[in-house]
Amino acid sequence: MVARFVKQCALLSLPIAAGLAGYVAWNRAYIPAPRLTGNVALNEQIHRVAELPSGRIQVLALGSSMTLNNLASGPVVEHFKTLEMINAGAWGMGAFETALLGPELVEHLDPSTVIMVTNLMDFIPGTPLNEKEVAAIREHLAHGGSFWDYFTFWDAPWFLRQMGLNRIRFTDPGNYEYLGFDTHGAATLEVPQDRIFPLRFNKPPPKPEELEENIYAAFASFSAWLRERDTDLIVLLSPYRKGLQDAELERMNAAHALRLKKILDASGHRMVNGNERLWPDSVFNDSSHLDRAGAEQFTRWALDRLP
Amino acid sequence: MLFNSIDFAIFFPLVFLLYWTVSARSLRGQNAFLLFVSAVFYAWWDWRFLGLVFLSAAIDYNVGRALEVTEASSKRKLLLACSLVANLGMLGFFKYYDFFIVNFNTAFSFLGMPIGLRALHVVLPVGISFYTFQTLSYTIDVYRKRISASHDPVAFASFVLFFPQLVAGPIERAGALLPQFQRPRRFDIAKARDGVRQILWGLFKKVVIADTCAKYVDLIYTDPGSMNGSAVVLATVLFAFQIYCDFSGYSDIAIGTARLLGFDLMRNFAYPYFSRDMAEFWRRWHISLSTWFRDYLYIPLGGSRGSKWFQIRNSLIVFAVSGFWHGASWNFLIWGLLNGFYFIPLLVRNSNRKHLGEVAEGRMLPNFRELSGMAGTFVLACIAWVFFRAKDLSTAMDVFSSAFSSSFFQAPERLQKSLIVPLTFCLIVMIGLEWFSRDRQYGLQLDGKVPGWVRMCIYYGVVFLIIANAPITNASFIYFQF
Repeated sequence: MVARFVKQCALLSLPIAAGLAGYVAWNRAYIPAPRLTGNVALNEQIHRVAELPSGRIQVLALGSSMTLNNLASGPVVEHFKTLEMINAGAWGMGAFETALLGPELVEHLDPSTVIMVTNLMDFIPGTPLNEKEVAAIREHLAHGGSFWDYFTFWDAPWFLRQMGLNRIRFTDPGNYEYLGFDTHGAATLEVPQDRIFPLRFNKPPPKPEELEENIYAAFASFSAWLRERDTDLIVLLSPYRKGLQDAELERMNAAHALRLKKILDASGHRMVNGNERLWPDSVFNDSSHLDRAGAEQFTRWALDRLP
Repeated sequence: MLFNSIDFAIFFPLVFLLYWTVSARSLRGQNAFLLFVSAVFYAWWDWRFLGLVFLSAAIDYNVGRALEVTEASSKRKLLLACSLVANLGMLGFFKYYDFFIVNFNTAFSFLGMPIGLRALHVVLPVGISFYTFQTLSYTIDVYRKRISASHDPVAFASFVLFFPQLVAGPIERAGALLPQFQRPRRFDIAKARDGVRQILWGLFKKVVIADTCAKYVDLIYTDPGSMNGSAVVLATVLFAFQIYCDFSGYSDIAIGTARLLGFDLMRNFAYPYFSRDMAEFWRRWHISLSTWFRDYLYIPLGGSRGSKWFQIRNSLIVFAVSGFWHGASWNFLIWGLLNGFYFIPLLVRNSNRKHLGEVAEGRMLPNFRELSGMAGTFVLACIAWVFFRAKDLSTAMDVFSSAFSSSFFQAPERLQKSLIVPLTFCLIVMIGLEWFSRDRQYGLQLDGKVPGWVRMCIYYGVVFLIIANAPITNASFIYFQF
């Protein structure tokens, strides 16, 4: 009787299992990374990094969408003459979050150089990672990521929704949330003129009073920590488009750059300020995110000026 | 362990197979196995409180045995008092100690005599209100000589710790459940199939409806004073569905799980939102608790004997205690009393037992009178739910001031189309199926009502919705906190 019941249950479950397997197989290219955090881009980056062999690499790029979108991999590979370069940038990873999570990634990949592309937006408060999320990332990196992580962080509605969104995110560089990583992990944008979002294009930089002291402090402590472990840090200050530039922004950028330079000089790190040159509006997809050609130009220009 | 978790999805099939194969050789073996897995189930949350459940079971087992051999009335009363003091003492300490300390401090400070008693911030052992009432019903029934005392400690402990209903009911009576532990259980395939269907229905209500409603309700109730009236009203209506689907969903899963193990648990919900007045609502809502209070509090208080004032007093006491049972806060007390006040006009007019059958009996749709009765009852229930959901009295007042402001006529704030459209569809499915099955135990009991292929389509549709929505990590059941 029990065997018959179990057999019936198994038979009736078959169409469900087959349907699910079929749906997932059909969309396998768009399966999101396990939900380690609420940040989709960060989850994808961590999952990608966790699947790589740990150990010494040459260059690790960390930071926000500035690193993800504005740091072109080609010029970095050429400049450092290495293919061992990983871009782990993700939206929402402001300077505070990068300082918090950076050590996990640095310990895991052991780079000789860390590059951070940043701008003023990274120094205003964002959505901080909580302890649970950092622990999940640590665990994921330590174990290399596995199929079981999907069950540990199971959330079916989120998973299905992301699978749908990833059809666009993974394939369309004209989408601001583009996550079609190149072999190194960068995702440069190519938003067509008619899809440029005016609100984003005209978004002004933050006001000086929005910049937070504790974020500078976190950044300073990360910078010092990198020096202690003999890892070089290169900071590239990403520019705002020419059309937004005015005297106030110029003053603010200069003060910000000076402050970062002091922090970096204290630990013997290097910085290039992208605002030393005006970048035409035509190479931007919004106020600060460069298009593919702009990212190539900016990265090459900045690395050529490294002290 | 949550019913809507991967842990339980692995745990229960294993338990089911071992229960009907390895441990099925003897009744004692089956009971011992159930006791073991129930302890594991409970310890999954916090093993430290497992001792408390065993202590409660041990006290009542021994008091029961002593009552059986004691004839002297004074000694019997003393034994009963021992059980009451021990069980209610534990419940009182863990659940109400801090509440009374805080309120004593406030009251004495107000009188200019600060006493500065320290709150202990005690952790509330999960399910304590449920298993305490269950074991108490055993002792009281043995005292009243309605049942005989158990002579099998393993069977008795299994009855107290029975995992499907240990943490959130239904609160079973010893007279109904204990004998099921004392006689051999045979696997019944029809019962098992019915159990699976009821589990599916419970999961649908919990993970598809309740957890989705919770997203909007939590958002609005965080700071209802800053939300517009329509958002607050919508959140309250959604909370009415959330709490129903959360708790009745849990009960359905518990009853279905027990049926798969060969047990019959009592019905806990009988479509309360199809009630035509508040008296009917309370006969259909949390039936195991309502009948517990009826048998062990209302009737001993004098019940419906005596004058109208006497009956009103008894009803208000029961509703107040019932409110306080839910939690140590003034909100719950007011929620209970408000429901008691709803009851008074029905009691005065002798119409509290007017609606004993099902609504629209023999008809597909309700008539206008029934429909308006159901709508009115739902509105009254929603008003009371505000006190249940709000974190304190001032938040509840914020809800009412927002709801009765001109902003009620604006579009609800923070409402996402991606949430409300699928939720509305699922609510229509749920209400439709429950209406269609209102003469049955639960919404998916459709045998003989629709052709087999339609039933299969509905089952698969429900499974699809469950998979598409669940399980969401950490979405606990509301009644676990009680």
